[in-house]
Amino acid sequence: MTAHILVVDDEIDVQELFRQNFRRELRAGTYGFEFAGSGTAALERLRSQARPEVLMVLSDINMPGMSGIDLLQQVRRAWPAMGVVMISAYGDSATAARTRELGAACFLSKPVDFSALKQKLTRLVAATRC
Amino acid sequence: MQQLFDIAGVAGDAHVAFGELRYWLVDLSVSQLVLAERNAHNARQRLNGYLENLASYDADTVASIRTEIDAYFSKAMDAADAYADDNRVIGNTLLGNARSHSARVDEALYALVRKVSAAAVEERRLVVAHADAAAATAYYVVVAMVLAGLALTILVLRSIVQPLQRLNDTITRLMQGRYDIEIPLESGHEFGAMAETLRRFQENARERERLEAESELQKRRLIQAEKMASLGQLTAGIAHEIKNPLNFVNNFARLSQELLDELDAMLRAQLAAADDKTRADAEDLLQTVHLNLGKIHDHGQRADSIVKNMLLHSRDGPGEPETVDLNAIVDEALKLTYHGARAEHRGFNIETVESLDPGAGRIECYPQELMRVFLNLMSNGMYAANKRSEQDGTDFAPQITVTTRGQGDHVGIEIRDNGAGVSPEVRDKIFMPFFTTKPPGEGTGLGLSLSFDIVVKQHGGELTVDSQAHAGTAFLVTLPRVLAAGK
Repeated sequence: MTAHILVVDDEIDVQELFRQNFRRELRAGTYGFEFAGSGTAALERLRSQARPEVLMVLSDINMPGMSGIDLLQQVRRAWPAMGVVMISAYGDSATAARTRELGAACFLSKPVDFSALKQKLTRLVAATRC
Repeated sequence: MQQLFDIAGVAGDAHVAFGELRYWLVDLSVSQLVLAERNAHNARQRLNGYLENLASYDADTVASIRTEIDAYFSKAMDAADAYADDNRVIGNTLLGNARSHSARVDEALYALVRKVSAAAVEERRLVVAHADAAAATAYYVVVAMVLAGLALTILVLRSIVQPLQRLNDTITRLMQGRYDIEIPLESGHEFGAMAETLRRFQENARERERLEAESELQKRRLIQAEKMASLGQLTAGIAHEIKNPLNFVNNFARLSQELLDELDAMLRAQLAAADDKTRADAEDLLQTVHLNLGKIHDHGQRADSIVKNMLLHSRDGPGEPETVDLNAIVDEALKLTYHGARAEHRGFNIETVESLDPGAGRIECYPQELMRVFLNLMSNGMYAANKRSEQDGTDFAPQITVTTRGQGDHVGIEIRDNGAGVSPEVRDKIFMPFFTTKPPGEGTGLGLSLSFDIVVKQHGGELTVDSQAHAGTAFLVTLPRVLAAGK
């Protein structure tokens, strides 16, 4: 079953990056990706309850408008079962601790190590699925 | 005195009147005229009037003169009568008698006149003498008063004007901003108070100058800190901005290589079947693109490490001071630098020599910042040694020596490389921000200036460089064991 993941980042080219890095998984149907360019757009997508249902959120922290932290809080409040992975260029321990406090599933720093991400996603998706 | 002159005048008049009397009595004797008798009586009356006046001056003499005059008059009258009766003989006798009386009166009057005159003159002389004496006295008194006045004025001047002058000079100099002058001690209540006020003003002014100088210094330090902070913020800002595009460059370069490899694998079968030229061309193209992508990736990595370097150096806000083992930090820094340098430069190798004094012990410091300093100095040293080995070739063995030394309340850390060394001109500028000897793109020129700030300003230590051309460079970091208060 495809794990549908919503990727939130204001940089458009992130989409291409994910598509190319996950090309095999996409072909295999392991994952499906959707992209939102802002926290607000992400929340809209989540609230719309459109199919396919989003399983996990991968979000950048540093975005104009709603920050990744705000998005994290709102998602955790509204959809407590949904896993949220935070990605950030600021890899400092203070930010990582804060995201963990707020309920992020894990924290990754940019540039994203996609093999590590794939390993984490496998674990998280398994844990999120009931 | 006036009186005496008057009396002398009256006496003179009396004498004249007596003269007249004598004349007319003689005239009577001769002419027997009634006119003569009348005139004689008149003269006598006048004379009596004068004599009355004179009586107040010398009653006795006047009385005796009167007596004589009376005698003379009566005898002269009798003589006139005798002549009238043609009694010449009796008349001559009486006249002779009268003559002796008149002579006495004359004499007495004359004497009186002389006496009064003399008295008047004497009196006048006395008066003049007294007046002269008084004048002299007055003269001396005036002179004495003038001198006294002069002396008093001088005293007043000295006790008022001179202190005023001194205080005025003091005030003028203080107003000119010369606060280093001596304020004179003044006696006298008011002047003492004024001098005291000026002294307090001087103190305040000096204090203000000192505070102004201090605040000026603080201001400059603050401006410098702000400059460094804003520089840090600038570089951090730029670094962060660049990071994202760089990530994409690296990622897409790598992805492209992967996809190309997949394409290569996919086309292998077809290419094997194609003619040689086509195959050769296709393989060449695939390899070239693969190579290009590799170069893009490599340069992207290079840019990324520069950015990492910049971020590392410009992170603001120090951590908390901690007491840590110095040798541990130095050792970790050396390992990090070594492995980092090997990761960055393929085929890089350097001999690391550690000489860590156990007596170096623990120091109070900002461990993150100090680590950064050691990383910077060590990476600089390794870079220099490596560069020399690139130039000199295989005969040269790059080496970096790290020494720690405990020196009482200080510790010393020396990082010595056997690179090409730096010239004196470079040595002078080496700690200046943005100064670098590395080729463009390889260094920001911020490392040493920030290391300097961390060592000197943050830790109160010293950072010096010793270098000789062709003999390598040694950086010496000296740190106090305990941070000074207020850091």
